[in-house]
Formats: sequence, structure tokens, C-alpha cells
Amino acid sequence: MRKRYLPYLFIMPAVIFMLLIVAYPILLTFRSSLFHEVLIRPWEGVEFVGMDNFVTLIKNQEFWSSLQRTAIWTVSSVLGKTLIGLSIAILLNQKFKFRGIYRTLILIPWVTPQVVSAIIWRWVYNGEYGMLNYVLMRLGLINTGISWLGHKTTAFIAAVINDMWIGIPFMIVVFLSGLQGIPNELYEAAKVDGANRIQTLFKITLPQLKPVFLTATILSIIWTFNSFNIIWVLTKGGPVNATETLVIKTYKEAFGKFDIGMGSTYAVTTFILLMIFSLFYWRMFSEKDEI
Amino acid sequence: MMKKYFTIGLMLILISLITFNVLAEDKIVIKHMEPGDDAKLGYVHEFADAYMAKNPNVEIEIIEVGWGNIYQKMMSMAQAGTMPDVVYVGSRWIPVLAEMDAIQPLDNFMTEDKVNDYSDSLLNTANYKENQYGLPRAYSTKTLFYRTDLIDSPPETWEELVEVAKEVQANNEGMYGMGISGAKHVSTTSQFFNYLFQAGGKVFNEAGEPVLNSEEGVKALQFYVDLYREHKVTPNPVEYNREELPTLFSTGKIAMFVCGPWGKSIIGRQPENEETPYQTALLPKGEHRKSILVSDSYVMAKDAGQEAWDYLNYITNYNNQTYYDYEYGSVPVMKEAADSRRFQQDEFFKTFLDTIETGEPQPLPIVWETFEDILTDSIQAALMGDMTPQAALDQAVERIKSENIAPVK
Amino acid sequence: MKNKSKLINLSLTHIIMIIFLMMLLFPTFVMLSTSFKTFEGVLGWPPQWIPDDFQFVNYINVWIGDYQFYKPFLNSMIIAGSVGLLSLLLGTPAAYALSRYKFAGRKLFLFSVLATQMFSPVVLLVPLYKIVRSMGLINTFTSVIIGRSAFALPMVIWLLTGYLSNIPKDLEEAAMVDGCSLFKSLYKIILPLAGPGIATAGIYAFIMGWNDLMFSLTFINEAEMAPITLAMSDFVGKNVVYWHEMMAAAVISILPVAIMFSYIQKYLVKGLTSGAVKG
Repeated sequence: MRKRYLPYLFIMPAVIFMLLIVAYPILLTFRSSLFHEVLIRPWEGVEFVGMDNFVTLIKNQEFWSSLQRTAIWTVSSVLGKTLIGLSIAILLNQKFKFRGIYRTLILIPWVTPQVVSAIIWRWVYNGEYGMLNYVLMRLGLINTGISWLGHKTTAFIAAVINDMWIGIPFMIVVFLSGLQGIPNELYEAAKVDGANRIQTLFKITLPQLKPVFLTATILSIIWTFNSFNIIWVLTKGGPVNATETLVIKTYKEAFGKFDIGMGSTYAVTTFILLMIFSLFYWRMFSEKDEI
Repeated sequence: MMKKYFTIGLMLILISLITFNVLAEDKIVIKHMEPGDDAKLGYVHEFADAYMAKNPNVEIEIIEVGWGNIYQKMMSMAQAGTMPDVVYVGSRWIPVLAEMDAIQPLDNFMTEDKVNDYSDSLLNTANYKENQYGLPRAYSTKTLFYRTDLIDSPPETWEELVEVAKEVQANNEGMYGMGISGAKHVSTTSQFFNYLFQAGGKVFNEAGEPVLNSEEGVKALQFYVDLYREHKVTPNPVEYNREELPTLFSTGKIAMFVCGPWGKSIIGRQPENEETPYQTALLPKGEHRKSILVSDSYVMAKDAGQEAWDYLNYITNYNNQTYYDYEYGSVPVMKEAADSRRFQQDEFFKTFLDTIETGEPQPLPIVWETFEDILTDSIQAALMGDMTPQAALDQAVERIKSENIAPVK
Repeated sequence: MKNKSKLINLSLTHIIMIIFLMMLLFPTFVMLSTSFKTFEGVLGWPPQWIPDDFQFVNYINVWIGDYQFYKPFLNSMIIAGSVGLLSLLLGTPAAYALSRYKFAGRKLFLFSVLATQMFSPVVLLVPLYKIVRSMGLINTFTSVIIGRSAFALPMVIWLLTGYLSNIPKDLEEAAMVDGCSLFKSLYKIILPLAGPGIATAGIYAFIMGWNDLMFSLTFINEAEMAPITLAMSDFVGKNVVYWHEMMAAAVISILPVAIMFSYIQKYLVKGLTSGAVKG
């Protein structure tokens, strides 16, 4: 009898809180996306326009190029984070001296506030005084300094690297914890069967890591897709629009132009895209075995 | 049980945090929001302290904010109805603030004497729809800063500018002839407008339509882009805004740049110095000798009253204004001050005064930020070589039209 | 033979780790190095790793001198600490229910928790601003605290659910048989056992609060109340960028959290394991 309402009692505070602070604003955003409302043009009024904003959005070439850019941004950054994170986690999963020190040092980027990290990287990338150019020149990799944030391609890569930098520690920690959850007996059995290390990696480690892998990558994809601070501080979406992802675009609509209608439309579209993608991703990878 | 106490405790903490903020004060509090660097804020505090010493019943609360954050913050405050009583703004934001009904006209507060302190053309930069919304605080013209030890006579024309830049660059290893800005920053627009006006171009025509892509406009952008792409006399402009150029200059990376009088304080040295001696010259002329005039103004919140005005009136009185202009290094705002010997005798300053007559005011689109975003996009596209100047400006004009931000006539 | 290959393996691991760390910590080195330079030293070429004119005064300047960073530092502490506490307070019971009971709506709840991650806080700024304004919370720490907590909560619940699932149910059942009330058994048995997990989740939330810029930029109006991230970004907005002092400020903004992290590093890995596998 008690047990039936007890769990609800427990989740109640969190639910009420989330409803008020997250769900309600999300609903408001959905609603705003159906209205024309530009705060700095009060004379135009607030008007219900149905799906007009979405039609405008779909017809807008800038939206499509921004979407494409966001996709490249997300894929390259998440791929980098995952590959590096996984490799380092596998290395750190061995037992050896100083492992604790490595593990601690690796966390430093994670504890660096994103804004602060972007400020540091901006200084590292500086074309005239930056350390990156200096080191690359000393290593003989380049002859003259590169203006990293001053060209479209390099600025994009620079932003991706900054984003990867922030995200790698989380990946390492999650993968490491996943690796530690793999029962030792499986490895013993493989050894008995005479499997080499590569075989062990692909036959045991990776399949066993799948649930962790799935959760970590999907979270990472969502976070990277929505990553704002780093790009904003580094480039403000420039040069031209080379780093203008959907979130930056949304911000410019909502807070540059104070166009609440279009800003919300961008937000809702981003949400729907991520939702569809997540469901699809989850399906594709967890089809065969239940998680 | 413990948990309950814990919850209650936390709630108490939260509640006390809220109440701290609403604790009533006895004094009249005037909120004053000011963006800028430490030197500038120093003078602001100096005036506020002096005012508080004279008026013990008043407390001036200075809200310091970086130039990078003030626009968003101000707009959020304006919407929340918490606009500070006195705000220092770029005059370019006056149209939007006035349209949002966030600020009030000052005409009723201003005495005739006050009005007469300023020249009409300057008052006009802070005037919107026949109402005086702002009191001009800083007025800037731009001049060419150049290294006197490397350049004998400053360039007079566009052609000479390129020549001199190439020459200095050839003679000094590791140094660029010049620095220009192309970052996503307001200064990129005004750096470009100098050349636009010199070529005889305009941003908006008499009817308020964008005409950036005129023949003159294209010529100006072509010249601007060529400095980097063709003549290669500047470091990558996209990486720098104008305010970063003085630092490049003071470290010997560039030999010339265009800036307002505050360039001196950023360089951090007087013109006569051992390391990087410099002086100012009129901007090189294109078809015309022109330069952009930009002002910053103080505005008053919609619901600010007489007390706020009294304070504003005090900090902008002749003595304080002139002291601030001279010490901080702005072009003098008050009519009489400009003629005073103090400014005229200073060789560095005199150039800025001489530039006034060639001045052309900054355009005032309704929504500056969007205008700036559109224009810097186009300038960057041309600087990167993605678009020809013609195509870039065509695009800018088209976007300005579709965003509907041309000034109201 | 076997020992030899083990040795090679080990040294290879160390070499890769050291190269990786050098690359990973490159910006951190630059930050530290710059923070001890003079303004002239910062803009010199070639740049020096260990500056000739090494000075510590930047830290003093930033902390109590011109910049008074101890104020935003304290503000950040208040905000981040409250975010940590509030998230735990709301998240722990929810995670407990999720780990102990099968109930209708459990799946929906879990899914909704994931879905909230798909809305970038940036996107919700405008409606949140309206809510905060209507609650009269503009320019209060509370506004930032509740905003950030709401976005930290999903991960906190995720982490804690995993942790609590690992604690055998029998323990509290045994306690309840012994006559303890549910709450007493929770407090006496579960909380102590889940300590590391709760600490981990709390620190995760703390970092979210420590990291915040968007909410404080939007909701907080006074420089006096600005957290460290906002103070840093105002720092950049000024005309002259004093990189040496800025980097000293950056070090100050990273240090306390880094120290905390090094303490919980062990638990962090364990905490995520259970969370990831069961979540």
C-alpha cells in the first residue's frame, strides 16, 4: 500500500522543479515559435503566425548551411573525443605505477570552465604572440606564424580542438569505468583460447563496452551539438560564418536581433533534430541486444 | 529527520540570499552603468565620489561592464524594466532603445546653457526623431598613427599610403607597414567607413535605402581588401579589432594604424618616447578628405527622475567634461574647449581637432547589432577572398533590406 | 621473454601517456607560464616558457589588487556550492526511487531526463528570463542557482541511480525489519554507503555551477555579484587585454576545482561505471 505512492513521493521534488525550470520554458519556446515577436520592434506587435516561422526557416539557405556545419562540427569533435578517449582509457586500464597521477592530470581540462578554456586557447592560437606558432616553428613544422583564428578552415579546426580538449577527460573517465566493469573471467577465457591482443580488443573489450559507449557518445553528441561558449568566445561564429553552428545562429536571432519568434523556431528545430537523431541512433545500435 | 532540517536549512540560505538583494536603503540610489577599461572607469568613479561628497544623501552605484557584454546586458535590463538610471552607450544604440521605450528624451531637463555647451552637429549624433535622447560624452574622430622614426612624412593619399607601408615593411624585418581591423567587432565597420566616405560612397542614401554597393563603395572595399591580399602590408585583419592595433604598434609589429585618441592610452606611452615614437596625421585622402565621426552618449532610463538628471548634469558639466576629455584622451566635446589653447597646443590632439571638419557622421540603422553582423560578414568574406568586393557588398545590401533595418526617415 | 615484452609494453604506455599529456596540458602550461610574466614579457618574441622577469605580483593584483577577484571567486563558490546542494537534495530521492522501485512512468521519467539534455540552455534563455523576471529574481544568485541546478539534475540523477543500484537492497530491508523507519534506514544505512557516489554527483553539479556564464550574464546585473566566469569575460571585453593578469585569473578559477577533483578522482571512475552500465 505504502509502496505504491512512495516512489512518486521521492521523484516529486525533482519532477516539479524540472517542470517549472525546464519543461515550462521548453513549452514557452514551442509556443513562441508560432508567433511573430521582435522585442526591439514593439511597433510590429506580437502576432500568431502558425507555421510561418518554420517555412521561413526551411526556405532559408543560411539554415541549411548552418545545419551542415553543425553536423561536421559534431561528427569531427565527437569522433576525436571518442577515439582519443577510448585509446587513453585502454592504456590507463592497465595496472602500473603513477597511474593515479596520470588519471588526475587528465582531468584538468574538465575542471577548466569552458569560457576560461576558450580564453586560454585564444591566447595559444594568437597569430603574433601565440605559443602554438612558436612551438610549431621550433619543431620545424611551419616556417611562419599562422593566423589560426583568422582563416575559415583553421578557425573551424581550432574551435573543434578546443571543444575536444574540454570533452576528452569525460570520455576517458567514462570509458575507464566501463572497462573496469568488464569481468576478468572473459579475458582469462580469451587467453586460454590463445587470442592475441587485437582479437581480445575486438572480440571482448569493445562488445562489452557497448552500453557505456552508446551512452557516452550520445551524451557527447548532444552536448557538442549544443556547444556554445567555446565558439562564442573564440570566433563569435566567424570568420564570415565559418563557425556559425545552429546554437550560435539561435543566439544571434534571439539575443542579437531579439527576434523571439525566429530564435524559438531555431531552438525547436534543433530539439526535434536531436530527438529524431537520438532515437534513431539508439535503435540502430541497440537493435540486436537489449540494454 | 536530519534530512528535513537540512532541507529547511538550505531553504533558509536561499531565502536569505534573495532578501539580501532587496534590503531597502535609506539613501537615494542612482544606478550608473558604464562600459570600458580601467582608466575610463577610474574617472567615472572619481566624478561619482566627488558628487557623493557634495550630496551625502545620494549614493551612486556604478555598474561596470565590459564592452563585449554591455549590449546584451542592457537589452535584458531594458526588457526587465531595470534599466539603470544613467547608462553610457554607443550613440548607435539610441534608435533601438528609444523604440523600445527604454529611455527618455532629455529636452525637458536641458537648460539653454546646457544645450549651448555642445555644437549642433554633435547633439545631432544623439538625437532621434527630433528628440534629444543622449548627452554626447565622447566624440571621436580618427587619425593615422605612424612611427616618426621610420616614416619621414606621413602619406597624404591612398597611393602614398600603400607606398609608405610597403617601404617601411621592406626596411624593417618582422614589421608590417600597417594594421587594419576585420574582426567581428563594431570597429571593423568604422574602419571601413573611413575609406567608404573618402571614396565618396554612402551607407544609406537620403531616402534611407542602403547604397553600400555603389561604385564608390566597391572601390573602397577593394582598396581595403587589397591592403591585405594584394599588397600584403597588414597582418591578417580578421584576427584583430581596432582596439588591438595599438598593442601591435607598441610592440613594433606594425608601423601605422587608424584609431581614435584613446590609441595613446592603449599604447601606454607618450608620442615622444624612445621605443616607438609616434605622431598623428590626417587620414590619407581618396577622392575626398573624409573621416567618420562617432559619439558615445549618456542616456537616462525611462523612469529616472530629477535626481538622476542632477547627477548626469554634474558629471557632464564643462569642467568635468573637459577634464575627462583631456585626461582620458578624447576629442573635446564642448564647443569652447576645442578652441582652448590646452587642446590646440598639443600636437597629438590637434590632428583630431583638425579632422572634425572632414567628419561624416556614423549611419544610424534601427538595429545596429544586426547591421554590424551583416557588414562584418561581408567585409570578412571579401578579406578572405571568398567574394569579390562587389558581390560582398551586394549581399550586404540585400540582407540589410530583408532585415528591414534601414533608418526611418 | 615475457618480462621483456611486459617492460616494452610498460615503457610504451608511459611514452604515449607522456606525449599525450604534454599535448593535452599544453594550454595549461601556457596559462601558467603567462601568468608569471610582465606585460612586456607577454608580448615579447620569442616567448619564454619560464619568464626571465618572473613575477608573482599578477596574482596579488588579480586577487586583491585592481581586480578584486576574491569577490567573484566567493560569488562563484556560493553559486556552485548551492547548485551542488540543491541538485543533490532533489536528485537523491529521485535516484533512490529509480533504483529501488519499478513504477508506472519510470521509463517516461528516465526518457524525459535524457530529453532535457537536448535543449541547450542558450536556447531556453529567453523563456527562462521571463520566468525569472516574473518571480522577481533578476539580479539574485537564486536565479542562477535554480537555472543551473535544473540543467545539472539529469546527470546527477543518472549518476546516483547507478550508484544506488549497486547497494544491496537487503541492507535496508534488514534495518527495517529491525524496526527502523524507512527514513531512518535511509539515513543510517544508505547514505553512508552511497557517500562517494553522492560526493561525485555533487561535485559534478558543483562544476556545472562553477562553469556557468550564460545564466549569470543574463540574470545578474551587478559587477559585485558576478561569478568568476562573468568577471573573466568582462576582462576580455576591455580594450587592452592584459594577458598576464588574465591568465593569473584563469589559474585562480581552475585551482580549487582541480584540487577537489584530484580527491574524488578514484570515486569518479567507480561512480560512472555503475551509472553507465545500469543507466
